[in-house]
Amino acid sequence: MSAFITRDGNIEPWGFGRDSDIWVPEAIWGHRLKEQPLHALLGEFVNMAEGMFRKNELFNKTEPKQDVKYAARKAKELRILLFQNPTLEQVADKYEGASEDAWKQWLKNIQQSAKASNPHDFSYLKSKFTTFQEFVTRVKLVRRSVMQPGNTKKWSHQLLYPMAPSALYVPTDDKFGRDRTLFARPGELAYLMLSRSDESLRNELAQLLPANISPDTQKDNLILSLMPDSQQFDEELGGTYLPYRSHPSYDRLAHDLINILKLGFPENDVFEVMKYLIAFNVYLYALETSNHWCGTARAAPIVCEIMNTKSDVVRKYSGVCKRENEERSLDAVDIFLDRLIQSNKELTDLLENEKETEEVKLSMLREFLNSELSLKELPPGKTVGEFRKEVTSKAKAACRNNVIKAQASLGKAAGLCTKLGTNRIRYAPSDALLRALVLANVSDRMEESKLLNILYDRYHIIVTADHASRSLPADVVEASHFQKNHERFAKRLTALGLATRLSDACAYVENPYR
Amino acid sequence: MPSHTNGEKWIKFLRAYGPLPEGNSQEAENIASFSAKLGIERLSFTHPMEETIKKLFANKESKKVAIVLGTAGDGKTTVCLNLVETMSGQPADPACTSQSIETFQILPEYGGGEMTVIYDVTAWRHKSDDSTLMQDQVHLLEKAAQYAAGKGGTPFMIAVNDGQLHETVRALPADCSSDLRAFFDELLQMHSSNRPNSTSHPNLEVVNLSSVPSHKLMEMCLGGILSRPEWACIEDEKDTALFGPNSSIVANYHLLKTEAVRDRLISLARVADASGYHLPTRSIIMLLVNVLLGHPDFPNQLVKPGVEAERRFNKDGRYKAALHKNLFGMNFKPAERKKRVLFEFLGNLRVGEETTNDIDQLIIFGKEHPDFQQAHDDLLGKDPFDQRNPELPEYLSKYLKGEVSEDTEIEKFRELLSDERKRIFVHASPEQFELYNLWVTCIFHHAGHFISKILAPVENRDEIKEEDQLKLIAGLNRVWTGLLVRDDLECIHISTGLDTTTSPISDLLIKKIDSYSDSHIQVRARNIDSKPEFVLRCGNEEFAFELTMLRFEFLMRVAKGAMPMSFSSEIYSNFQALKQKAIHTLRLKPNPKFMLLMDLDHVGSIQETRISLR
Repeated sequence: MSAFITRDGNIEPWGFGRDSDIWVPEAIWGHRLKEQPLHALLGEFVNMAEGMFRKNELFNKTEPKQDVKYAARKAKELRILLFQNPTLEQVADKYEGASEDAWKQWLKNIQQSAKASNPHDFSYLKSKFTTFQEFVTRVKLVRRSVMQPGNTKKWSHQLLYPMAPSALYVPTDDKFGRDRTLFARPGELAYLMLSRSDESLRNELAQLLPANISPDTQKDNLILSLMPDSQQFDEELGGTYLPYRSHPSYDRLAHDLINILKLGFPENDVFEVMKYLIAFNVYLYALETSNHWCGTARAAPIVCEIMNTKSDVVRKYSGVCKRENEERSLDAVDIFLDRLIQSNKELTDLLENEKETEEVKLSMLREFLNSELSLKELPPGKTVGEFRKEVTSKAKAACRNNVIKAQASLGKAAGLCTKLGTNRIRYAPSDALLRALVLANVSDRMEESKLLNILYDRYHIIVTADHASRSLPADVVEASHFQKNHERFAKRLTALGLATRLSDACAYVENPYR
Repeated sequence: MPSHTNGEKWIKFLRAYGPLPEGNSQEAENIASFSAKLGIERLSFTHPMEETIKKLFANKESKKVAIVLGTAGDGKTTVCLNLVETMSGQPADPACTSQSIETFQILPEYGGGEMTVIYDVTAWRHKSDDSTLMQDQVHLLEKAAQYAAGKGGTPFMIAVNDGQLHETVRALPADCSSDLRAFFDELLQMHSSNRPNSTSHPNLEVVNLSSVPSHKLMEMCLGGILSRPEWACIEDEKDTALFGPNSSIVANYHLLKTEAVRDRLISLARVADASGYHLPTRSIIMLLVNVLLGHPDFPNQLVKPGVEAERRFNKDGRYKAALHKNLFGMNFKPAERKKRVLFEFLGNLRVGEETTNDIDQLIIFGKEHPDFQQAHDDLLGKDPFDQRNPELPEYLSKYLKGEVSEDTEIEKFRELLSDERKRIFVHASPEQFELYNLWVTCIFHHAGHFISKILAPVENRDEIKEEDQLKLIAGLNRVWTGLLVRDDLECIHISTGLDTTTSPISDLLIKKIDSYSDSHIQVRARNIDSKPEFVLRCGNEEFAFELTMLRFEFLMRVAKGAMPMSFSSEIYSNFQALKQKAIHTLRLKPNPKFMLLMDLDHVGSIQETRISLR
């Protein structure tokens, strides 16, 4: 059994400013676990990795106390060309063949359009292209690689697929000021998790990832052709906090990504698989952290329904299990606050001293919690009991608003959670996640039961009756339902081309990229 | 107790091979006693692999440890029993077979000495509640491992199912010898990679009975059942209800002997293999017995001799147990049918359930319409064994008058049409089948093409025809580029999207592969099992993927204009993964100095625009 992450010396507090109403979720899960769509999680992670690569510090070891900073691209001109350029096609149509006139008209239009955000000079473009039409073709081509184009209406939040370093930039407001609503930091937390993994894993990652973020590739050159010769970078920014020096999820994430990177996906296709594994592992990090605070040094059980057409015990328990796992974060908040107060001997002695007045006790408790939790607003409690209750309630509200929502968003992004066919969200892995798990865990052809054991041991994923009976109360393990779930698992993998079924309930799982 | 006629005994005997609830009734161990009781020789077939196995032992030197693998029902026990009889000169000892293990003296002409056969590993090792193997069993396996490694001892033959093999490995005690571990490690490697010979154990050999193509087993079983002399009862007992004019058995027996039905069964077995479903001998026999004896009104849905048969066959109801219905397990209720893997597979083919204008208009309008009359009479006119549902003409007439409007009636009409399509599918002669393109009534519209134009030449180690290769190229081009490129291009365009290589529209060309210069396109037989594979070669690198029935169907439909994503998301993703693997394996890299952007002209020809990136 692994050691508790809450042990002395494994947690370091954050000392660089606390942007929070009550620093409880951040102290437990880091700054910060917040809702984030999948494409933004991937974009943020790759941006940070590329920033650190440029600094020559890719996957260097980090510490919880350290403010890890990197400079991201602004790519102002590129983004205006791609997303604030409504007259491009219109001009191209109007001046068909007359390149000079087209350039003249378009440059006038774009200056006008870009004025609102920032004045920019686009005259550098003309010398880069033989004709205006050539320029239009490239802009249209690059526009096609926008991730989740329907996800946001804000042009300054549109992100390109991380196909090259020049395609990486951070979302901003309309005037190119930093905007954290999309890059809410879970992607950076994932990077920090990897930077705390075992040294050999970090070294391996630092060897493997650069092939996917290095410049001077075909796609990099294409995007650069739309940008001025000198690239502008934002000032170095940090502020992301991961509280634990070591955590079981760090090495797990590192192993998964290494295994995927080793498969040799062409070009940057690896990110398409990687994104599910990052979301899934950050989700597990959140659950496992809650578990450790609650006294269980093991990942939470993930009872997975392999998509069924009707309701059964597996479906029922996959929903219950998800809710229980995610709501355990509220218990973690209680325990954290108890431990925090207990850690101050002077305060606990005072609180236990029957001779001391309530006023003095309240005053010291207020002072202590205010300093530790950076409370933006002090709850008005008149007694120690009332005050503690109010602080707890405030901390839990923050946990609900950030951590629980973030967990739900990560679970959905990973393809682990769905409410397909029902009105309740449950664990029912998507084909994309199943595929990603097979690719990350199957090297040589292996028997299906071996894969299921790996999924159980590594992620605590429960599909079969055998695993259910080891982790769940006996009264919920309806063996026949889990047996059918197991059969659906084999069928699903076979349908996805990831398994070959033989006789006698024997199936071999294979990684098609090996 | 009334005495049974020969015919009744024969049917009673055949029933034991059918899809009865007591699923193990067909196992070799059980059938022998039933055979003795009725005085009828059991159904016996010479498995095509028997000769291979015999060669491993019937010599004076270099005997092996042969691991006989196979799907449950492939005949492993029978093969073992036959070998024991050959090698020892006498039938296997029933006292030993009941224990699933026999050690015997080999005849001097085969070199003499001792040999051990384990007939069925599961039955052999189920002797204690302990999940690990017992000490004496481990000891025996140690001896087999020792002999396999060339370290002396006596030969073994061990029959085991795929799953049982893994179970046995899991049941090895932690303290077993490293030799035994090494033996099983090698065995699992050989199993997972379909390798018959060992690289580390000179005397170890794996014989996989499931490697024999299903269509060969189907031919073997058809011959074995239909040639039995007991069928003389049809003529000898034609005055009885069981074999009289209303008997479904008689109708189905005569139909099963026709070239058309045999051809169809063999084709279905080929489709099964090409779809990754091996049909074991036991399942094929079960299917054939169901075809002959299936009847929805009898207990266990199989005709049973006796009063029941006399009552049921006193009037004509042959359509109820028509061959085309029994073949797809329609004599069972859907839930029962689903329990049998073979019927589940055949059901998934949806034979008769795919609507098709050409066939449906023949069925509905053909009899009256002058344009279709000739074809109708040719294809649908004959029904010598009254297999067609008598309700169909009535419903057709109602439909033409617009009187089929209630939901239940519409449902019934659809059912009758589906039934009739099935009947045509099964009864059409090979010529009619091709002429009317009857594969369109199932999900694999191009199965006929696959069998004749791909499987046949590949099995004969011939090249497929250029026109067929062009169709495959057209399908691949359309799936991999996402563009509706013309269907007569001779080269495959490997292209990517700007974001990922699997972008639905992948119009950035990396490489054109044709059959000339340093590249190559070919369909050939796979080394390990002779199944067809599609090969792309570029310089010194080669990428190949198995051309399964499903992949072929998908490519053909896309080549004919279907949208790649309209078929199934799984097969589409499968082809996208193949593209990724092809780019990786063929080491194709985009040029950082320029891009080739593909576009189509009005006839689907690819126009390339060069984008300089200097």
